[in-house]
Amino acid sequence: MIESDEQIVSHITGCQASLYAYILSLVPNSQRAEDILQETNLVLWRKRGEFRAGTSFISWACQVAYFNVLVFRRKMARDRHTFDDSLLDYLAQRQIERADEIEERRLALKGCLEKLPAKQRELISRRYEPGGSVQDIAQSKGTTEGAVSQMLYRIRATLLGCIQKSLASGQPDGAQS
Amino acid sequence: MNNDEPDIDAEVERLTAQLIDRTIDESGKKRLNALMAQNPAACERYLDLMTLHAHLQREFTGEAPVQLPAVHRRPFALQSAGRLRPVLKYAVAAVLLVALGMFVARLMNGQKAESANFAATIEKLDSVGWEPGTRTLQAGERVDVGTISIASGTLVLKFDNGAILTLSGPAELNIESRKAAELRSGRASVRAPQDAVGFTLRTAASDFVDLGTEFGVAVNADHSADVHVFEGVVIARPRASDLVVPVLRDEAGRVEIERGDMVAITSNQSLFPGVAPRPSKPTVPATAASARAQLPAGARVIFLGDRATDNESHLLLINQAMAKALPRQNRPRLFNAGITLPLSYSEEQYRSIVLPLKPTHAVLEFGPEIAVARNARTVEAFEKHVRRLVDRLVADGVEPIIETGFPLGHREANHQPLLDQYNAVLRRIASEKSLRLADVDKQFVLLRPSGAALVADAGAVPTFAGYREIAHALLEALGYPQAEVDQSLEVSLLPGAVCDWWVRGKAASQRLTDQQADALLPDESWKKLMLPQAEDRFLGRLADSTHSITHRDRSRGFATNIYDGPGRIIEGIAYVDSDVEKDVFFNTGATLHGIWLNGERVYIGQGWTGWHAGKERVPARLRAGRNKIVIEAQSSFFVGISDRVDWPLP
Repeated sequence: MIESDEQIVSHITGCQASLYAYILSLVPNSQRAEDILQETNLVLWRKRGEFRAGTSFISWACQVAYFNVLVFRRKMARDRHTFDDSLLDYLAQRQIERADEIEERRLALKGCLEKLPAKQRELISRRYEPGGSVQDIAQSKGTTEGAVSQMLYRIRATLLGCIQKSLASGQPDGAQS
Repeated sequence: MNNDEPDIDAEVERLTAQLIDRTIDESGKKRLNALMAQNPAACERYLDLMTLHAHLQREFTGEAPVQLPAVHRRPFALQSAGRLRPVLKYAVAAVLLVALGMFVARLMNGQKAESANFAATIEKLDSVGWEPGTRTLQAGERVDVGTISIASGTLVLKFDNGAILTLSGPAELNIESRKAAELRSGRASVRAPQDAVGFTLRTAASDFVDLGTEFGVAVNADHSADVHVFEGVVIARPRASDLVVPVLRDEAGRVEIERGDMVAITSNQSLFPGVAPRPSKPTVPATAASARAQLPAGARVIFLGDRATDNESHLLLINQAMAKALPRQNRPRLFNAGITLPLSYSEEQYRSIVLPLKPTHAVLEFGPEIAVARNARTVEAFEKHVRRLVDRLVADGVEPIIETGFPLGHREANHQPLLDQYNAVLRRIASEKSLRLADVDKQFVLLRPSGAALVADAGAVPTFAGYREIAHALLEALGYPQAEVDQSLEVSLLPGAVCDWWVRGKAASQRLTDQQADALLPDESWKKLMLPQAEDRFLGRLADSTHSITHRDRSRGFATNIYDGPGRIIEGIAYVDSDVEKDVFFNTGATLHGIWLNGERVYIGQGWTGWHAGKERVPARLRAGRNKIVIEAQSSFFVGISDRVDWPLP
């Protein structure tokens, strides 16, 4: 069964965060991942007649995105890619298998961020605010980039631990007693 | 586990962090690649971290705002002007913003960056009068970014991305790039082939992003902007708010400039001379022409379905909406026959349940619960049974109204493909027979990105928010699209409810004989039970007690939760006075097993026939003076007495 245009719009709008995470995992460069996401959105719209109701939209969207990742890699053939083809293929397949969980992780993150101590939250906020970078933070704090990276590393580990705990407890908002 | 693995994990984490923070060098990338190629667990850790990184970017970059707008308008096909659904508006707005905001923002940012000298070509000029002091153009001329002002006539521009824009004078258009323009005044229509998806027409009030469409935009004197969509989908993005609203084919909306609100208006293709005449819609039979006409005065609507029908929240919402929208004499009367009449009904069931109510219309709500049944019907069997019921109703002069089944909850999702096939059957039958269709499935799917919980996770039952959406869809199908569906139910004691009881528990094996029922008298072993029951301690903790079926029905005269332990049932006695000897009907509800009137059994439960009040209407005769009613029930009951079999929702 073919879905209506409005259903497809709903699917596309609903999977943006998961799709971006999928692409960024394969092309770990924000700007490039955004470009591929944009291209993927348009392809999803153009190919909407190929999506079959009752199947997983996010899985289909990830497959379309993967194709776009491959096209991007071909275009950028002269650049050195982070991952070789076989590893990329493995990561792509694993992330598709995990696709349904990505949104749950995003929801859990919101709760976990609220639990962070204020200083850690401020640091992660500065890192991820528009234009934020490890270099800028290090400069403004009068410390080294390595020290800032280490702090961010620990915060991410804390967040990951919280997200895993939330997923295991079935409370996606991370609210745990 | 290999002892080296913790070290590998730590190194993968460190290198991934460097990759994220852009401090990794080439040797680090090689090392990361090598480590992950050997170790699936390392790949998982990497994917965890990158997923977290992606989500953090979205959380903090402002591209996915956490603060939600105050108002959201749903797609017009599903929303009447001035009618909002506050339960959903924040969630819907949030998701559309998060998702489409980035999409649209990317489109628009890209367009600004790609601004080039030549952006379009003049395709055609028709009686164009130029505004004094502005540039004049010729057909075939290439045009760059800048303003075109015409006093009259029409001008057709082909943008370099393939979009064709027809400007109707007087109008002013500022070309911004090969795939974006700003309409400052007047009217313009845009036809964008697939390759031109993403073309944006801006106005002072809103940006309109094409998704493979033909649409028209008019800038009004107060600077509000009207969008009319003739084909495909347009995304409206009001400038004064953060709303992102899809506008679908044959819909039109107006964005006001101050607050960025959007309301539905009547679509009018004739305003846009550049729009090719649409193929006329298929001729529909006369019966379908009135598919959305209001029900006639005196209409009697019976609802047939499964558990969701039996729960009747949507029936009560519809009844409440109609009570507020219509004079009493014009209100359709609603009857619930959920669960009572199965889809594969027997002739006896049909005659005893449907015909006595003399329905003029019947809403068929079958699907979700059938799809999740252990031995679910095949699609062919489902179609056969639905057609049999539809044909029977039509033969009896009853207009069937088809309702698609809402999508299943998470834990029943494996049955969704079958339900999708059932729904396809329902749509086909509705189309083929020109029947009214309430496409609940479509509406729920459209709202899915909102994250609103419309279906209980565990099964084939809607939440209260879901029942509200079903009520909306049905009201539209019944011809009352403007009727407001409340957030809460206004409940009161059902007419004829018997409220003054003595009850006690007993072993389930000790069923009453007629003689025992006749001799039964309350003593100290019985407890007094006055209905409605006292408030349950948890009632006050509910945001809205009418969203809970049990609490709602306690207020309506149900006795609930009088469970007396495993292997036990309850029996009750009530006395009813009558001035004269007369024929009445006992309206049953909940888990009632039997009723005796003055020592004579008048009702015996025949399996599960549902919960709702009035699921059975049992004829009996009251004598003049005092009458003794004895009941047996599992742990809850409703007993009401009416003079007539005709006992619609009040």
